Amino acid sequence: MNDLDVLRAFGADLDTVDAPETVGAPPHLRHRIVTGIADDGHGHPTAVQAAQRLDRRWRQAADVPPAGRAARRTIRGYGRQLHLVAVAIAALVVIAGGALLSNIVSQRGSAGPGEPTATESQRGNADPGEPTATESQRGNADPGDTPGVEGSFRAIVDFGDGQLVTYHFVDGRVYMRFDDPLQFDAPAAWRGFGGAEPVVADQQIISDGEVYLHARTSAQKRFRWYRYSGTQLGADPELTDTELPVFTDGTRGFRQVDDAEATAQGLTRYSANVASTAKADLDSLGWFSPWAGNMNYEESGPNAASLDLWVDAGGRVHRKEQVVVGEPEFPERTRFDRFDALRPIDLPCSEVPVATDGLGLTLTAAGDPALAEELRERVRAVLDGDERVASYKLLDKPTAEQDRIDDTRQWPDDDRIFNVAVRLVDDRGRDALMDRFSNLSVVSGGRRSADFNSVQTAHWMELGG
Amino acid sequence: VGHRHASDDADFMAASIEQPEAFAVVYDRHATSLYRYARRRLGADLAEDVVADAMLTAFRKREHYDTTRPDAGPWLFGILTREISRRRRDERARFRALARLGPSDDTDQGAVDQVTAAIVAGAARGPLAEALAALASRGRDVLLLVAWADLSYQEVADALHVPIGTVRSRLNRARRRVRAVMPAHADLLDMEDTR
Repeated sequence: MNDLDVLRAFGADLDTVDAPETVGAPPHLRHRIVTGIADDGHGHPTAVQAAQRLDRRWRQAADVPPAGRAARRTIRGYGRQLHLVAVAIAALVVIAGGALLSNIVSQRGSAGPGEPTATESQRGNADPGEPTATESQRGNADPGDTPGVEGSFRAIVDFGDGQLVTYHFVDGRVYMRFDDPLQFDAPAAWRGFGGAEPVVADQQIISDGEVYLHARTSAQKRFRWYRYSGTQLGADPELTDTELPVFTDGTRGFRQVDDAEATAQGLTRYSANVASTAKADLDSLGWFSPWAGNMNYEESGPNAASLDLWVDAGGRVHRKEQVVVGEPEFPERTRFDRFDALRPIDLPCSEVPVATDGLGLTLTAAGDPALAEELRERVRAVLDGDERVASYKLLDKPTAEQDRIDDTRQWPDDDRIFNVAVRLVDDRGRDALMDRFSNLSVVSGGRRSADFNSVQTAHWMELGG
Repeated sequence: VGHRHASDDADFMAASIEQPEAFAVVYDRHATSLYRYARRRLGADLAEDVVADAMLTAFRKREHYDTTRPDAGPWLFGILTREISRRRRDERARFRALARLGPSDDTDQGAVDQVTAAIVAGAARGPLAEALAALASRGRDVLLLVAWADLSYQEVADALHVPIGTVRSRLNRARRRVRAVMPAHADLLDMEDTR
């Protein structure tokens, strides 16, 4: 027996102090996860679908209470906001979807009189076959905020698996209806994402049948761009129409830099330095984000240390390079990413096909800060002398502000010293370079060495598109 | 607090990117051990919050999971530790409140060593809680991940993103401080981890 055994016994003793009958994870924790996932996307279908599928999986387990009334009851204790979100999710899971295929086909093409409005369905006087209000719906709907549809946009999204999602954006709130004949036997229902957390939008862009809203919920401090794809049926006159973003010198803190290679391609290179660029500007760089895949919205900026854009004469972004230093949960995952758009990046949350290449990598130096300068010199010597390195940039470790977390949330064990973004010449397939970097170390006076302990390439995250 | 349930968490984590419901398997495997660990450190109410937050973070970041690691436990405990670290004040307050409870005379039935450990722990509950409250958070994290989450040193290193040597040094410091509050029972203790 040793002191660890005593500590283990102490832990077991604590189990008896705190209601021993509930040592296992409470079942309603699962519902908190489900509601939290949906809440993350504040009703965006991607998040809601994920929450639905997770909830469905748990409901299939014998020991999990059904969603809906039971879920609402168990979550009530966590506050009204969470409760309302739970109701919304429960309603989506239990009630939403399920219209006949013929009904869906007609809905896809009918934007007008035949289409049930949110107002009708929430009042419960919809046409036969149309959704009727339920207890959970009434719990979420605010009688004073019954939506109309005039002046709104309406978009229908086909997710390719038979599920259609129809949106209304009315009076600053997004209403959504799921139609999923394959997965639900209940009638379709309108859900208002605004009962618990009103969605406020201040800008919109409409282009090629897609609607982009610059929106936030009451719980979010800043606006983000959200994309609503599908058949665009109208615009909201209350919103400010925003032109497609066109890049010019000075846009969001970017400044032109000399780059002969870019000039030869008819492009202009711009660069932004996090240290000299307002955070708010960086928050808006989702406009130029080429992320694709499953994400329908994306932002870059909070963890970006440097950003470079290649822009054509028309102001459209063709290439983006960024160094992202350490998401809070994954401080080791400093990345150097390069994105080449197959067509210009010109829309917020663009879904243009993109290609990444392996021409960059990021190294993280960690260890004793006293050795930092020595290590920097070693790194410079190695990189300067290697013909395969086109250029490189030494970056200080991100500050708490750059990580957008306060000091108490920073990893206490974060012993990063600096990062190095390396751009390689176009000579792909050589891994030996990375192998060597990974073993580079400095030992000084018997003190602990400072090592490169992380080598990553731009490949670590797969992009869709 | 056994958390090693299977060798295929990585498969479910990978599958959950396209099939979110696969994450349920990972949750079900680890939720109880995570919750129990969090409850010991923060109490029942806050344990729910931190486990829920940790699981949401894990879900958001599931694409980033290193699928070469079959057991998601250390990764999840690492995320949970970060959530707990945001509530350091609550944790210290809890341990200080426990310190005021005084000794416990409850002893489990079991092997001699277990009973002895329980007796020592019961007698030293107040000083132990006070010692944990006084530990630096880094040391407390390492010590409790080993003692209560049953992680190996390497798993703690993975969870906290520190070298294993750092884990050992922090653990040794923390253990010395904890042992210091049990002088009356020092003759019963040795420093070797018997696991």
